[in-house]
Order: sequence, then C-alpha cells, then structure tokens
Amino acid sequence: MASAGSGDEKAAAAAMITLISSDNEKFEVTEATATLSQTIRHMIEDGCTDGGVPLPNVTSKILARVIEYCKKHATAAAGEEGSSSSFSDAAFLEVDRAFLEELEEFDDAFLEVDRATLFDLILAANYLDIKGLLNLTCQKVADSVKGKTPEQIREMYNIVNDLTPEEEAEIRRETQWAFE
Amino acid sequence: MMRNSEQHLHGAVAKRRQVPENLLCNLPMDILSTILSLLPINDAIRTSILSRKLKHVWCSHSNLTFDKGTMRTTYFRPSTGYYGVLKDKEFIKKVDTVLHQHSGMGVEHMEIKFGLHSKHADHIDTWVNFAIAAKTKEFVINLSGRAKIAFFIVLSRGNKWIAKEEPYNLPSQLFSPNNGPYLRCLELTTVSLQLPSDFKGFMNLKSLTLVDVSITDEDVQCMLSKCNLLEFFEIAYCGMVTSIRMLRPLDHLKHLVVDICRKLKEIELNCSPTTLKYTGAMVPLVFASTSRLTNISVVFLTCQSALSYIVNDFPSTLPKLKSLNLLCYERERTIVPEGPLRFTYLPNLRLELIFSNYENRNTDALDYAYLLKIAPFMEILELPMWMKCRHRPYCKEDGELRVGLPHQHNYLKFVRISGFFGHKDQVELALHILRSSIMLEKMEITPKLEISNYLAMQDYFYEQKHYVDGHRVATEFVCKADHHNVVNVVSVLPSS
Repeated sequence: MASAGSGDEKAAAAAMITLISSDNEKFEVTEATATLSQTIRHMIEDGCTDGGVPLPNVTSKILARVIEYCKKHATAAAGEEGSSSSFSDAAFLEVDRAFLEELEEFDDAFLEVDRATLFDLILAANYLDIKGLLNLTCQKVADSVKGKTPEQIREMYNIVNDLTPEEEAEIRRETQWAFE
Repeated sequence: MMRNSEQHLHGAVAKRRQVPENLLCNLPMDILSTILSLLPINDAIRTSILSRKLKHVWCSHSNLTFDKGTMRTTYFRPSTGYYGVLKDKEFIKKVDTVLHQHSGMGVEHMEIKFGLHSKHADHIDTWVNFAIAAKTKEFVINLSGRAKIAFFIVLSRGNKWIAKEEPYNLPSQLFSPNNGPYLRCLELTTVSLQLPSDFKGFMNLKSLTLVDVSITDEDVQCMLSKCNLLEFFEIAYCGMVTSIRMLRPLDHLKHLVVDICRKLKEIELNCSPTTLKYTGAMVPLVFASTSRLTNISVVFLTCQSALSYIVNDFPSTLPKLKSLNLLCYERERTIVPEGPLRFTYLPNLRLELIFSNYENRNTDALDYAYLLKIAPFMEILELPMWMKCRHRPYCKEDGELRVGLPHQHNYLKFVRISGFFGHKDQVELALHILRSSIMLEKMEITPKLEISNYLAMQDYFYEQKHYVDGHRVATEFVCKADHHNVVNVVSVLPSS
C-alpha cells in the first residue's frame, strides 16, 4: 500500500487541478483525487480545467469535506488495482481486510455530521457524480428510515402529511402487509 | 450513546430556532429514488404514506428483492403466540401487487427467492416477463426455498438430491433476442431450462450461475458458446450434466466454479481462466491454457492421493499460481517418483488431507515432506488434516521417530497444521518441516479440525480425547525440537 501511495504522489506532482467553490475559495488537488468525480473527469478529458474548475453549487465548507473523502478513496482505488484479492489467499486477504477496515472506519467517521451537512453532501455528490460518496451518504439516510413507522419518519424529517384520509386509506389497503 | 443524546438535544433546539426545513422532501426525485432503492422493498413501500411527493417514489425502486424477509413470510401472530409461516399463495399475492404498482423501468437488480415450482408457473411467468420488460441488469431467480449448503450436505455424501415437486420451467421469452443486451448477471436456482432453437445469446452477460438447474449438456454448451462476454460461470448441483465442453474460444471467461454435478465426466473448455473452484469426483480438467491461473481450489470427494494428483494429473505449467487449495480423501499410499519441480512460483499452499481408512491405515503423512521439494518458493503452508482413523497418539513405545530426507527450504515463513491428533507420522511431518525451513517465522499447530466445507465431524466428537492428546503430543515432541522459538501449539477450549 505504501508504494501505491508514493506512486500516487509522484504522478500528482505532474497534474494538479484547482477547484473553486461557490464562495470563491480555491482548492488544489491531484488529478487522481479529482477524477473520482465523473463530472470533473469529463471536464479534464475535454481539456477545460485551465484556470480552475468553478463549482457554483458547492460551498467551501462542503467542498473541503468532499475532497477529504476523495483523497482517501483515491488511494484506495490505487491500492485495489495493485492487489488482486483472491479467495483462499491468507496473506493477501489479511492486507486487504486491514485496509478495508481502515476505509470503513474513515467512512463511519466521515458520516458523523449534522443532518443539514449530510444533505448538502448528498447534493454535492450528485452534482459532482461521485458514485461512492452518493451511495455512502444516501445509505445513511436510508438507514435512518429503515424499520421506522411512518409517524416516526415524518417527525424525524418534518414531513407534512398532505395526503387526504381517503388516499392514505387506499395506500394502506393496497400494500397492507408492508405496514404490519 | 453520547453522540445520540447530544444530537437529539441539538436537533430539538435547532428545530425551534430555524424554520422547520423539509430536507428529505426537498431532494430531487432521482436522489429520493436512489435513497429508497437502498432500502428493502417493504421499507420503501412504507414511505408511500408519508406525503404526496413520496407517494410514488418507491415505484421506481431499482433493487427488487422478494424473499422471506422483504415479503414478511414469518411474522408474529399475537393471537397464537407463534410465528406464522407465509404460504406460497400469500407470497405470490404480495409480489404480484408490488410489481403491478411498480413503474417497470430502470431495474438494476431483481431477485425472487422462495420455494416455488411448476404449479406456480402462471405467476412466475409474469414476473419473468416484468424483469425482461424492465430491462433488468441482474436477475436472480431461486425457487429452491432452502440454503445452498443443503444441496452440498446431501450430495457430498454421495446421496441423490430428490426434488419433491416438478421444477418451474423458464419461459422461452427470457431467451428472446430483444432481452439480450440488458442482462449482465443471471443466476438460476431450482428451475428447468430449455433453450429455444433461435437463442442468440445474451450479448452483454458477464456472470452466469446455474444451481440445481435441469439443463442438458447441449444447452450448457449452447449457453457458453453464445454469451461471448461471459467472465464468471458457475454450475452447481446440476444432476443431468455429464460434460462441460466448449471448443470454441471463450476469451473472456476468467472464473469457473463447478460444484458437485453427480454425472460429470469431463470439463474441457477453450479458455484461460484465472480462478478455478472445483468440487466433485476426480475428472479431467482441460483448458486451452493454464498460464493465467492464479487461484485454484479443488475438493475431491472420491478417494484420491493428493500427492499423486499433484505429480501426475495437475497442469504442469502454472507460472502465475498464487494460491492452491486442494482437499483429498487419502486412502492409498503413493510412492512418488522423482519428478520435475511442479510449482515454480506458488507462494501459498493449503492442502486439506482426510486420512480415511479407519483400521490398518497404510497412508503416511510424512510423504508430504515432498511438498517442500516441489514447491520451493512457498511462503505459507496450511495443512488442515483429519485423521479419520483409529486414534493413536504417539508414545515412545511406538518406536523412534523417523527423520525425513534432509532438504533445505529457503522461503517458507508460516506453517499451520490443524487436526493434529498426535499420530506418529503427523509428528514426523511437523518435525521435518521445522528442521528444513530455515526462514520459518511461525509454526502453528492445533488439534482443532479445520477441514472446510462442513466435511468434517463436529468438534464435540473429538474434544474429550483427540484434542487433548494432540495438544500434549505436539507440546512434548515438536516444541522440544524448536530451537528458534517459532512453534506455537494452540489448545482448543471445550465448546460447552
């Protein structure tokens, strides 16, 4: 893993990208980090990243977090290519497992944010098209809803029930078992 | 806990201070749909009652799994105090309602997992047609109603699997040409499959799994020949299959899994796989090339000397082999001829040996000292053993310990021997490895049985005597010869 990391840094010296947040703050990141975003990857491919990439939908506070995620996962992606995991390969599995655990811990800690930030991260991940981050943040929301009653969910997210009693009764009738 | 209560407090204050923001409902529809698709379908359906905006979002759920969990087949009936078991009729009705309301578009994954059969064909046909129309990318249909291991347990003991009901026959529409481009992954369990004569193949199919499928040799061959991008192919418990043969090149096939097909006589594929898993009787395994193989796992359920198999029947060129796992039932001793090096690269070897004649065992674990010779670059060696024979822990009266021919191994770092019951030849093999391996960092010896695939007996059978003796003999005879402090004898604590 260490060698993959240093290789990454070497390549980075050659290609840095500047990202500009909605409040005009500049962030220098390596190309490997930036291209976790499909949106930015396409911009790089089209050669329109000179002078920085403006991201009018993302604040500096959120962008800093997104970059933190991408940095960590870019190393992970580089590591994955290096070691092909295999099914009864004790030594390799050991390395992979330790690394995956570390990544999981990172993700868990990363999600320790208030709800408003979480939703901003979702929107940013969606806009920047970062599949892993979108999945991670959406999963957090999904988990918060899982196993809850409709009343609990409404309370949690301030959802106003604008269904008529008839509509509600109809829904319950059609899929009664899901509400049991 | 701290965090939760803190968050709770914080949330309560924030709620009062700010205008209540409806974060969830303000998300764009496609994100809402992504979030709901991460929930099991039953949880997703429950969100339909939250508000008008959310009423239909679940209908584009892209990950439809219908099984006992999501269709609530076992639930608590307060009236009886028992868990009720969902009947097939109930399951069918629920799946029907969900699919009827679903948008029928953009399904990534659809999975039906429930014990159903030919009697339910009318309903299952409509589900299959739904999957086709929804351009499903991964389609799993498992109608066995039981865990996969159930097949293995019956079949690995040489018994026949007897189906109670006539299996469901997949409709020919599934194999129609317009269904071709979408399907990436197809997994079929306990169904009957006949390819129509105009089958053109699934042009983007990468992964195909057939478990307990009634399928002929010809249709297996046809499937392989017409799915040109296939990377992963698994065939398990298919009782009709006698031969898996495809002479046209299968350039993309990388992973092959074959698990107990009772009548199988041969595998011959024009491919160069990277991983191979095989369980069953010993049959010829022929590939165009073995030069890309990195991982092999072979479990022979018929008696076969592992050493003789490695020396005589194993592919001779395996330049990339990283890991070999071989399980054999040893009954006869093989006198191994001096042969060429077999594994010029192999770093990891796991050899599971079941010594299986109870009385008058004539097999000899010390024969496996030969491994050090044929795998000179091995770094990790695991030897799970099962002495399925009369218990005879070594004692001085059994005679002097034999010493294997001296040989120096320069790479072996880690050795684990399990199922060490303390037989004389086990002690001799351990000592031989210990003396020969000059780079050895760790040698773990445990009496615990670690034979994989549930093939060994339960621990409690051995805890009283064999585990205790094994530990004692290892401590007494192997540790004594350990001059570099590398041996670690692991005792087994009784389970109860």
